[in-house]
Amino acid sequence: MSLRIALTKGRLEDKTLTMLEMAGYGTEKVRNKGRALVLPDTVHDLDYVLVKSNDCITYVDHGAADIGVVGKDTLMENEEASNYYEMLDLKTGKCCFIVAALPEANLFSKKGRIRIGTKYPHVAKAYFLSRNMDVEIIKIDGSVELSPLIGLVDGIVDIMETGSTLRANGLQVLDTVAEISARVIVNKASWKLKKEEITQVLSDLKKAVDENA
Amino acid sequence: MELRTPLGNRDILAGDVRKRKELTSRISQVFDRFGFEEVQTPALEYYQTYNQAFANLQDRTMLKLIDENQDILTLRMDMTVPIARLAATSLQNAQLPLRLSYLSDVWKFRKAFTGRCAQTTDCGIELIGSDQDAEVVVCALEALKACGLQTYRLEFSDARLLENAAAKVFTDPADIRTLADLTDRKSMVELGRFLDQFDLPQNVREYFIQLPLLDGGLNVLEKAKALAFDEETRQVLDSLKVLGEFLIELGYGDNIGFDLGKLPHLNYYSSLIFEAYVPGASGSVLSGGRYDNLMACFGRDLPAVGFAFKIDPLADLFEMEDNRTLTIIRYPSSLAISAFELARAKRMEGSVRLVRDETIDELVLEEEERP
Repeated sequence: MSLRIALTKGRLEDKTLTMLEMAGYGTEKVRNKGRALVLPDTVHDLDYVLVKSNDCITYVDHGAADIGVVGKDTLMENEEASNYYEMLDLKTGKCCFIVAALPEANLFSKKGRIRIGTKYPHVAKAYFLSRNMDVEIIKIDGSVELSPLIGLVDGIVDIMETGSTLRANGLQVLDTVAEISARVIVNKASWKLKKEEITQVLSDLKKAVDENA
Repeated sequence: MELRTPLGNRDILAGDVRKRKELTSRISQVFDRFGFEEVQTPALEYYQTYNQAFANLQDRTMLKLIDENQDILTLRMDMTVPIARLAATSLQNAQLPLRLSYLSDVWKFRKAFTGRCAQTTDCGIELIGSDQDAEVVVCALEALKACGLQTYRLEFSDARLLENAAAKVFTDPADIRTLADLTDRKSMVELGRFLDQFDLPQNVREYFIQLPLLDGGLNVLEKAKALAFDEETRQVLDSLKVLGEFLIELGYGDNIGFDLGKLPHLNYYSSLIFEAYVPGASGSVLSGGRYDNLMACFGRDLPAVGFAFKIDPLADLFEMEDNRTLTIIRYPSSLAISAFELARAKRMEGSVRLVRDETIDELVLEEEERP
């Protein structure tokens, strides 16, 4: 039974492909994809689709793809999808969710309700709820760092890779919400019914993870 | 006014209705052959009924209404709770065990644009007042076979495998909930990190980290037994082994398995739990288990076991021959009596449609394919 793997486009794309190549998979057709959308592996009996991170979860959750590689940030934000298992940390694409604010905002000592700008409203809500803080979450789609600078919000919850944008704009990191890296998710029914094939892919990738370590 | 169905709801057209009817009649027939009697309960229940049944009710998925006494009503979100209520009230004097079956719609709120339905159909059985699992499990396997599926796998676990062991190690219920959630989602990365926070003996950590991966045939029970660090857990594993061996001897070996990391999603399940998976459906198509504490919530302390099929994903996979025809009788008004008489006779064998046509002067018969 052939497998379909959904890979997340963008930030994780190259890193994931490199790990697959280390594990001996034939990803040439993904590297040189042209207009094709379903891209066969040139070594193993499986194919790839390249999708946006949220869609990766959707495809795996519905079983249209058996396996997905997606960032922990996206998994944390999409809690209602439940037909998948999260089985492996690729330990690549590492970054973290942070809380940041201008120093004068005194975010954690301020009285009353604070306003938080974020692309990840669920993650932000859960974090402040666990600290019993009264917050209003404002969803921002573009550059989140802008929102506290021009007075829309008191602080932000966002992904930080290097922290250079934050520093350049005088924003201070106040806390780490969670560590993030690329994860391998597996559709529940696929795990039950194609266990041998999936276990093989997972153990190949696990070897690549160990080599990287 | 936009003409559309409410969010998460849909119309079902003729061909699909026939498929669902055929599928559910095959399943219902198996239930009937096992001596289960079909009952119906109202679509609406008091919210209080569900609140009494669940320790922590996920009530944001429930559709709620208010009745004229300001009581909160809910569209039933499953069938086990209404059946348990029925068993504790209308059937309190009936002879035990109760053998009840149902084919009913249930409702849950779904997030928009996720491709999930708010109204779904459940078809299942409940055996109330009995501590015997095997007959119900065999009924599930026979009903799966009756659906005409090429491949299916019914897998078992036991709610106590995690519960008992966790209670011996963790004191904070919040930690046990986290552990259960990570185990159930086979969230191996976070599970490892969670366990690292505690100073656990090596064998204890090993048990919890391996449990989600103990997924396979009888051999996983042996592996689990070697990892188990308490006698109760070993006994639970033995009872699963007895059930597994029994089913293999009956010839169901190709269609059963174990996933010891499976945990009950409904917290009334007390011990045995099982789910069925089929190719083409992204989640389970059948789920069930033993719920020995639920009836006590309704004032009748009885052991019980049951399961339900999820008809919607199964119907999407169900295939059947469905090329039906219809006879058309064309007639002029002058021959109406004989046309209607002929139609009455022909309806004994099949379907007939009458069409008045003044351009002809005799009856004309045609065959037409039905939608």
